Amino acid sequence: MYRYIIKRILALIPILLGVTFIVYAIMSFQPGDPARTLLGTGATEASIQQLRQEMGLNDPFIVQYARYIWNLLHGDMGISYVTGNDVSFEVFSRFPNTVILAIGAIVFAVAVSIPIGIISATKQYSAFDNIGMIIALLGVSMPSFWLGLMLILLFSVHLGILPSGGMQNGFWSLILPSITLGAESMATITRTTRSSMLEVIRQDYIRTARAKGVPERKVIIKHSLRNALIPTVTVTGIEMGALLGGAILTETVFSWPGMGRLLIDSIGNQNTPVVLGCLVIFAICFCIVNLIVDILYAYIDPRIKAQYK
Amino acid sequence: MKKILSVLLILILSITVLTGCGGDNGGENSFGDTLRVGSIGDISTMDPTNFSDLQTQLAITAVYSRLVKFDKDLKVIPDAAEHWENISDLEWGFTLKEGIKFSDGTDLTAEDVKASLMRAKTQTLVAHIVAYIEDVDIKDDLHFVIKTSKPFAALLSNLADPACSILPSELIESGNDFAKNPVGSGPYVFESWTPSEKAVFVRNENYFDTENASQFEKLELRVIPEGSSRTIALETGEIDINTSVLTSDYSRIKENEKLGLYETTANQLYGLFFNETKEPFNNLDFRKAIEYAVDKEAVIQASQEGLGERLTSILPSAVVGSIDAGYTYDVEKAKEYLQKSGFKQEAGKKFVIRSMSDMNTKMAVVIQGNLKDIGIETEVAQNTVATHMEQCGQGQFEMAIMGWATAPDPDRFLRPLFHKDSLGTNNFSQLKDDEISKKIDDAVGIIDETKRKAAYEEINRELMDEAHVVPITGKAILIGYRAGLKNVYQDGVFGMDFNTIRY
Repeated sequence: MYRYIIKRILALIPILLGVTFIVYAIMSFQPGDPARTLLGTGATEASIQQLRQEMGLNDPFIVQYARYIWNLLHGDMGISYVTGNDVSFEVFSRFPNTVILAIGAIVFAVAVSIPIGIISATKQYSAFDNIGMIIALLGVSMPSFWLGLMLILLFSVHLGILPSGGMQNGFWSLILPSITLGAESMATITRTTRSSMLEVIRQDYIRTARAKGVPERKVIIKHSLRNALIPTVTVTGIEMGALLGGAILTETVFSWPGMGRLLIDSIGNQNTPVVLGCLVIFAICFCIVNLIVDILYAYIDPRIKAQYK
Repeated sequence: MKKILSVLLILILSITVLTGCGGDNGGENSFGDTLRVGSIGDISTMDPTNFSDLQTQLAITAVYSRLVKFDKDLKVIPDAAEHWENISDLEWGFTLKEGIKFSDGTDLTAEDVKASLMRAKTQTLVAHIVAYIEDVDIKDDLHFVIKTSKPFAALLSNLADPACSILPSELIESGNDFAKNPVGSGPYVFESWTPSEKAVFVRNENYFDTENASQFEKLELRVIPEGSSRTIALETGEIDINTSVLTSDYSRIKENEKLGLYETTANQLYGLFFNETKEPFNNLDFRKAIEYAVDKEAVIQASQEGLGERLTSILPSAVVGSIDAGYTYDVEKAKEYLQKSGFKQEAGKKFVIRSMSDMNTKMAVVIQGNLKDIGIETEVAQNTVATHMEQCGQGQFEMAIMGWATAPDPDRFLRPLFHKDSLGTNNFSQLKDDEISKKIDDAVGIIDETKRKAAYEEINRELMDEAHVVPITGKAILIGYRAGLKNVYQDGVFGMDFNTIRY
């Protein structure tokens, strides 16, 4: 198991090299000049060229990229073109907020979707099943931007019971953004849980358990759910990875100070070091989440654990 | 079933108990000790010579003083300077107010002014603002003379720029990082900054302008990037001021008795620029046809709900040299000029109107319709800011909507946009007119107000007669605030004096 984990961690290196190379290339070759953007409209050509020289932008692409990778290996993610702060400061001051939001969203999604998925599967074609699937459809269909604003209008403006944005109110500030961000994941996890439960509860051993008189709750929770969880865990892991990098709209609507907004603003400003810093962190998080998912498999399904030995 | 009902009952009771937990509203007309301001973006630095965004400008002017500043009508008024006079063509004498202290307790003297201005000359981002300042001759702690390299009537306007904020000379010499450790003599002192969330300032108890000391103990600049969210935060009382109300929220705030709205227009030129190196934009009659074809009222209605000043020339009304160039919306006249130009619309050919924001695109779409009415086919292409600026600066466009906001100094409009030295940067029209460039160079040195006005009016009229740009409007500035606050305003260069706000 430990060798497997170390192998997976080492695999991060080529992944990160690939991600950084592709992103650096795209940022370098797109139209626009970061120096010109930084200096703004008052800039003279001389000042633009001077700043380009200071920023090393006149060097060949491969030299710039090699310099970036060399610095990254020494723990230096570079300097933000816009603020002049260390990229590591820019990124890590916002990273915990993104993680908090992603965890809040996935907790909401899992807490809602697994019970709905289980009940929908065990009471297939019932009114509950139909309602559950409609909720899932709504969750994946509603734009998060719109959902967020509607929740704000209801809970902040009309009812006045929850804040409309920011992080000032701690846990209460997390509720609406979590629901907004988790809605789409909730839909996906619900449907996955339902379909995998349906497959499992039709197995012979489940019929045997019922025939033996095992209480239905035990049949579902102890015998069915654990086997049905593997696809759910897989999807949850993928969703978690996506949530870490895809919370831009939610962060914007709720003024949540996360990395999503930083990434979008940096792309617009051609702030390459910050873009790379964000994407490196996202890539690492995605890989780690997938690794955790793989490890969880071993605990859920003993057959998989045997493969690691 | 009973269990489900019990859970539902608990939820409903919880929601009832939670009522009122949502915001830190100080009540309808009561205010806490903190002025909470909702801003569209985050501050980027506290170094006054290293920023170019408007949110940071609000923070900079809260913490630092300058020699002079603008009032809400963009007239230059005293800040740290008590008095000034134009001694000669190249010399301006200043007298500082007595007893000004920095937030670290040290006295503000002429030495600090000199060190700050000389430092600004070395900073790439702002050097052009102080380019004409050659030296500062110190007479004593309170008196000094600024020497310029050439006669420069706009010196005061440039000294009002936040880039000319006064910093302690000792800290400059010691290499202090003002971005993280700002020390100024403004109405507030920097306390903390949480990236993407908020910046907090406390009242400067040693502020020299005691009459205008802040009534609030603290100032909080909160980042709320989404316009609707800012309006909602204002309505729920989570913020006291919204510095950037969307034009689409204008009526909503105007009709809300619990809120107030301050409106003005930015000192800005939003216009349709032509790349005159490409045909047929090098044809004067073709450009004049477009001048008469554009329905500016419709463009302003579509892009800003009808809000914002309708421009009649390149220079906005607050700028010396502004004129009425006489172009009106006249489709028949436009068609006449188009015919005179000899232009024939080719089948399948469309000119591209470039834009860099949703507001620009709305303008471009209306103009597209106007041009279609006279027989010119176009399409609209929106890019990111960086790409748009690069393409327009390098002349890789046909027509483009560009915005230009700056201090109320005609040179700050005309030189970057039309001087031949600005080719490759902001001379979007790609104009290589030696005569205009010389007139711009000569005008900057005219100190006499009457002659200066006449000179700039002449340049403005000449540029408008040549139809180098279709000036349309400036951005509508809408500031929403909780009723009960007084003296809330923003000047045309997006500056706000939070310390003068009262409740």
